[in-house]
Amino acid sequence: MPPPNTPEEGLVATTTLALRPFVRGEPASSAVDLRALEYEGIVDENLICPICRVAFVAPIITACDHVFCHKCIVQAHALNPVCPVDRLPLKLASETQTAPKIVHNQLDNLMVRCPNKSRGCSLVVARSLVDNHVIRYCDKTLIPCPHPSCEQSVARKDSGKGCLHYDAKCEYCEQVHQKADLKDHQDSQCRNRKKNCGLCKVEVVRHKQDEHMKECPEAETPCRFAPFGCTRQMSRKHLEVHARACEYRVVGPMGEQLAELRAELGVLQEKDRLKDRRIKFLENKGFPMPSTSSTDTMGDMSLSETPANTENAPYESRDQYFLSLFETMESKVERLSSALNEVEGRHSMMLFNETLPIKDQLTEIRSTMGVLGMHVRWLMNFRLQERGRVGTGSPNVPGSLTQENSNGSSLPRRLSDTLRENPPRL
Amino acid sequence: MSSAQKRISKEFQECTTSPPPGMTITLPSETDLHKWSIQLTGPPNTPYANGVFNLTLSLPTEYPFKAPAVNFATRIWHPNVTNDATGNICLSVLKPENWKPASRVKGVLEAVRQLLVEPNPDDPLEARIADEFRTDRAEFDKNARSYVAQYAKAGK
Repeated sequence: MPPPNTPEEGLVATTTLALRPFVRGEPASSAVDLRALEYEGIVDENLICPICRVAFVAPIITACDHVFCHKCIVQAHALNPVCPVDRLPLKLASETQTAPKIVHNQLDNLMVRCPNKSRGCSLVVARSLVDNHVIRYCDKTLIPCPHPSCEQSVARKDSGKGCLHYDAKCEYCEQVHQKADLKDHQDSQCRNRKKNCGLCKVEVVRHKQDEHMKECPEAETPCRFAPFGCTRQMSRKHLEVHARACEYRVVGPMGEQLAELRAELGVLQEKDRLKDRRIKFLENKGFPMPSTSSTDTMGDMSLSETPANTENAPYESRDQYFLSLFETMESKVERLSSALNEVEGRHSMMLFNETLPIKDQLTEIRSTMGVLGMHVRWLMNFRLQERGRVGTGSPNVPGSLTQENSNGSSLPRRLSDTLRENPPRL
Repeated sequence: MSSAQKRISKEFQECTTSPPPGMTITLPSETDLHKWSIQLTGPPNTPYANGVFNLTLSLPTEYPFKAPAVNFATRIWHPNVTNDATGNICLSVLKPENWKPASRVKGVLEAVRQLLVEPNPDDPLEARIADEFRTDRAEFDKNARSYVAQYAKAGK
């Protein structure tokens, strides 16, 4: 088997492209045939293709200013290479282009009915969105049956129920239908599908009886004011009359207010409980509250003794005054601690910011040191070799070195000695 | 339904709801949209007045890219219609070089009716009738009326 993109394959692709007279503007194949759609309302005559007499699909405008569907003009041009309206000669490739955006927008905004209308979808949607609706969302779209060995299709809304392609007997007419079609059969085909409602005598579809019972004028229904105590039950059609005269009608609004008040009460109780807990917490924190009796006396005392204080702080009792003082203190402490936190944070940030460049410099210095060390080692090696050569007694040594030789120290004892004597010239 | 079928059914609907004057259009077979039958009442103030003419219109499968074919099923004395059982009509819009996909059946039918009001003796199918039309108008009118009386009586 040849690898992909072999020359032959490329050739095939180009020839098919060349065979097609015109490829530009071909819309991506969509699941919905836009020409088969039912348009809501009357489509403007200016948006209708003169060839297929339907609102344009992928409109193309010619050099002679006529607009056609892409598919239509390609088809017409293949038979006769002229403009289908004015019969002027037309070159498809060079004398046509996609119609202006405004035309596309107008077409996109046309309202259409969902193509699954016959299956019960009543959606009316902009034409540009119908594709998405049908492919992804419409409950009535037929999709392959979820059962792996079943090859039939089923509406999307039933796809979660497993394979419905088995025979089931209609409970009203004894006919056998596939389970998937049974509901449809009972809705519109079954000869026994209709029956008269036992209460109101109106003909109803049997399997929608439950829905009918919710609005049957004869069905027994409790009074609208049942929550407020009315125990009367009667057929729906009498209920309206009864409601107007029901004794509980007056109570009704009161009842609603009562419910509102109850809800408010619940909220308040909850608040109260929270407050209680807070007080208990404070008591446990080492502020033993004076007993109730003493509080009273103390309160009296403070009231009588320091009227100025009570004016500043209109508290009911001394305890509450202390409590509020305590709370303000607490909040101050909280503020202080947060300020402290902030200062700490700022300091650590500053410290960090300053240490960072120092660290950088340090690493830089370290690397420079390393480089220097390497230089030194290389130079010393160099010097060492030179010394070695001198030691063997080369005749072409400069005078200074011969002097050293005469000193008798053929080699320096330590490497650093040489460095000290002859600092390397860098 | 293909787009061609869709167009044809649309045109049929259009022609039945607002037909050209004096015409009633029906489908001989409910299943075949490509064959139409038309009943045309002769336009007033012409020798064909009060005549009832049956026409057949057949739409090719390539419609609207190819022109439809219209024939008189009722015989008629007219320079542009063959004086035989086929009843071919010489109509410029139906000629292949003149047909364009943007043309519509309704336009064709209106042209057919116009041909009865104003025959075109310069482009005749029946040269004898055309000659008569040009030279002896009274004789032509008489012949045309007698054809109407013979073949195109209402209720026939």
